[in-house]
Amino acid sequence: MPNWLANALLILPAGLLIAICFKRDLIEIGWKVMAVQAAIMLPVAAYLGLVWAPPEREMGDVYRIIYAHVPQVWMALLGVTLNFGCSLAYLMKKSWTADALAEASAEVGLYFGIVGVTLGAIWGKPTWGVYWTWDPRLTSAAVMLIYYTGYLAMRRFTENPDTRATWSAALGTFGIVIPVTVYFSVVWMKSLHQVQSTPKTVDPQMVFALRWAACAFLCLLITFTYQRYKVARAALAREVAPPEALSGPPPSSNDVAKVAV
Amino acid sequence: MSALSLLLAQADPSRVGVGHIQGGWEFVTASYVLTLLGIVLYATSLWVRRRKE
Repeated sequence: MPNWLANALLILPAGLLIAICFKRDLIEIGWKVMAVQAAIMLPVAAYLGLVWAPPEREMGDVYRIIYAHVPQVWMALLGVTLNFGCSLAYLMKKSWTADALAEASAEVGLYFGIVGVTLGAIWGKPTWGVYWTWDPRLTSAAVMLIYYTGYLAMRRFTENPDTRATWSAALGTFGIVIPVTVYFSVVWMKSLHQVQSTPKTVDPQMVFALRWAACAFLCLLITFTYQRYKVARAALAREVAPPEALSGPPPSSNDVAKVAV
Repeated sequence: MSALSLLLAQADPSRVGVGHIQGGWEFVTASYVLTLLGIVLYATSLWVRRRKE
């Protein structure tokens, strides 16, 4: 299968995100397209990883965990990077949209991070002989999970929406150090974890299967983040709405959107 | 382990490695099942929370 196909499928969600930036109305159709694309691509990704891709020279079939582990860790890093962008945006513009999106991206990033790190531990047992070791990559990933758990806990325990948004934006801005450290830890420090591979040194079938899986998980990340964003927006609308708005008849969905902006 | 038993172990072909990991499908299966379970559980949690809002 040609690599351009996987690249084209990766460009689709990225292109859709850029289009949404210019035309907000596209978002309601866009997330549905992403959800359908994820639902189609994920089973195919499992087939490509488990059956179609060849076994690895030294790790045999155990390496097939890569097609689930690596894309999910990438999505975790993408999620927390998005959290950084939204935190910065909130500090500059005081936008509730940025605050809700920061909350959504932190939770979705944490979800992918927990699954990704757990899968890494499962992979560690047959290849390293242990589930866990205090290696720089593993330690920095664990710090990332603890940091974003703390971030979400802080949001949960701060009642005032304004204070919560400001404090979490400050925390999210500093948090960018962690994903950067996770990514470069294998380059900067001596690590048991392997360094990043390049397509030049990997079998083309393996590259294709990994890109396909990455695209499938990217669609899933977008779907989950948007749904979680809607939950955060609805909660914010309830919190920042004036008391008289809550005592009257239930507002239409357009009214809720206006109050939350 | 004495030198003799070490030599015998080396002579036994079933105890000589083949240079790469064999098997391990249980780890692969566990990973894919965990991924599927994670997706289903998180999607359900989002669906429940959206219904509540």
